[in-house]
Amino acid sequence: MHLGGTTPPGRRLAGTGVTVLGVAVAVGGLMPFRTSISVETAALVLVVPVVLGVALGGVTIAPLGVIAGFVAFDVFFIPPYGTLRVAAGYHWISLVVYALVSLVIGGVVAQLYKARDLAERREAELRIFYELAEVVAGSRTVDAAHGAITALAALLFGASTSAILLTEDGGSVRTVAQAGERLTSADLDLVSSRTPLPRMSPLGSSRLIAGLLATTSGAATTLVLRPAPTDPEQLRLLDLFAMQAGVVIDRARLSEEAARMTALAEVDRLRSALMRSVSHDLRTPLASIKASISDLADGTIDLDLDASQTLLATIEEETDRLTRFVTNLLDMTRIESGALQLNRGAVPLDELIESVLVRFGRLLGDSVSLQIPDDLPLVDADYTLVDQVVANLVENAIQHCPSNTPIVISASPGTGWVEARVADEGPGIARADQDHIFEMFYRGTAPSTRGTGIGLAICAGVIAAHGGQLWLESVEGGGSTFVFRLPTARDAPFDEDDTDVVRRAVAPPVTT
Amino acid sequence: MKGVRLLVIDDERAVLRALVTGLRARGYSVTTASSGGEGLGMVAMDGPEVIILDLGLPDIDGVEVCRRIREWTETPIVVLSADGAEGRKVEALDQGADDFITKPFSMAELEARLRVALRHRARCTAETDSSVLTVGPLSIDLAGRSVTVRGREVSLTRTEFDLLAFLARHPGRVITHRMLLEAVWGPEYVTESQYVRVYANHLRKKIEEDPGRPSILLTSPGVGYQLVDPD
Repeated sequence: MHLGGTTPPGRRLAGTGVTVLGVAVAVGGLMPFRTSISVETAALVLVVPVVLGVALGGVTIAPLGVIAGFVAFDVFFIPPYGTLRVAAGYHWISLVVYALVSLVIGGVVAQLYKARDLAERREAELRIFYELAEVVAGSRTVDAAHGAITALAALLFGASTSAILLTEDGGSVRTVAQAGERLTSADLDLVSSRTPLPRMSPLGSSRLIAGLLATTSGAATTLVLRPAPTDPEQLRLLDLFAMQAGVVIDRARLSEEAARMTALAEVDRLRSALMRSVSHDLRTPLASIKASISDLADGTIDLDLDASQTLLATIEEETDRLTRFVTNLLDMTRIESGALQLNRGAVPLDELIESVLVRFGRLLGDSVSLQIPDDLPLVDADYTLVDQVVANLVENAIQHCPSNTPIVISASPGTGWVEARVADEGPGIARADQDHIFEMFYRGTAPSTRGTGIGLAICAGVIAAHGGQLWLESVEGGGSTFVFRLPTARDAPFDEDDTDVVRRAVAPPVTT
Repeated sequence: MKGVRLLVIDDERAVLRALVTGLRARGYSVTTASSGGEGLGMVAMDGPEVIILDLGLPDIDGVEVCRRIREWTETPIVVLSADGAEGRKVEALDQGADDFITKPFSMAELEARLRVALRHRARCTAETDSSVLTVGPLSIDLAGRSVTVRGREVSLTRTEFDLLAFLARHPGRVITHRMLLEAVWGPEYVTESQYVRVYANHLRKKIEEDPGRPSILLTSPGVGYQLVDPD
């Protein structure tokens, strides 16, 4: 692709050839019959090569065609033959009509040519806009825009070197994008000595052309091409191109800034969510602990045994809750930074679940029931992390259900994995929240939502790190069930066919 | 404080349990609610003498609960805030809460706030018709626009008097900068909290025995002022 406004020399030559040859052929063809055909017929035939020549070679052919046709017509077809003289007065009429017709047709064709040139120029401009529009759509970053502009400039203007330079206020110049051959340091010095160039301007004998595309605080962006187009039409298009390219770069810069702002806003949102979480989840247990301890320590009030026990139990439970929260915070940082290290081993899920429930103690009361088969295979997992997952799921159920809502924890073996379910008969989870519930800091849309959106996100992160799956089965208004699957440990010590052997294997060795 | 009826509104079961155990051991008669809606219902039915209200409730925002209670009763409200943010407490005070305490707190601190709220509210309701307000050693004659401290008359500027009178109408209550500015200077001055600071310092020089360690006109840092009976 190359942009141009005038007819190439090759076609002009072809047009001239066609005209001269056409006239010669017409003359040769008509010569045997010149006495029998009328002068007007010869004139009509001789119009054809002139029109063909102009159509092919452009408007510059027209005078040549008209003169060649006129001379041939006069010499060969108007008596006396062989001279430019005209014998009969009425033959003058034929000659004049021929000249007029040729001129008019040549003129019309010339007009058509002009119109075609104009259309081509418009098309070239449109193409620039079109290509640039595509660059705009494709360039999310300033770097991408620079790259696309240099490549496009090289293509559109047939340049062997196309580069974008960034000139800092201090005067230092560096190439930020280029297509084709590299610019030499002498080229860079030349461009920087002439910067800023508000329009695309040829730089002396270097065959370079350079001009400003955009400026920002502290830096100027310059487009440099070699060789510089010589055609004025191309220079005009290059200026237009530079102007539009500047707009593209500005757009890309704005979109980069917008993206940066969005990222900052997201960081800000997460930070304030974390602050809110830390503030609430640390202070609430601390409030219970401090209130309880200040009572126990107060010598002026009478606490009966029951009250003392209640306060002590509160302190213990709330300390566990604080521990869970602090562990969650640590896990969160490790998951977010990708530094979660699994300390895997064969873990008995039933024992793990029971120990978690013991820690919750009276918070759960009689509301929890367990459905775990005795022969549940061991899972290949990090005990501490899975403990945290179960604790988070149980705490989530307690938090979102009214007191004493039944909670059922069950586990069952599958092929290669063990599935555990924590099911409550609470209010369920709104459809809109279900898709986001495992996202960090997602707290649900219902006004009654409690919690800080860390616990479930950590569950998801931990289970995923194990190569397992965690999902939610919830009916709005009809309870929620969180289900997770973990891979079974490789050498399951329980074998349905041979329980005795297993028992012996598991039992401690007897010393005799 | 034997037998004083308290209502504690908090959704955190552990907090409720600790508060109820401690308050009952101190002789209060305590009822509890674990949501804003339940709390509002119990305020209406039981008519508690003081309400302890947590701001972070699951159903209705604590500030809104404050506003709804104030629509029809002047029962003192002590707000529990876990936010750590000043803004929420100030909002609650603007909506009519009497005092606030930030979690975590000791039971002794909480009881001190309850005492202040109870004492002043009792006095306040008894004296609403009087044109003379008394708060500890202060006596403020609203009609005569004169003030005596421990029997000795002090001369106050017009603004100082208005400020003191407004605080004295709500003894024991923490009045936010915004409320004071709106009442004394006018609604267009609500952001000029330095005005209050300057005038409160002037007032202290005239009414406090030791203006450096005030005992009557107390500061709630970043929030507002409170006029209390030091005894």
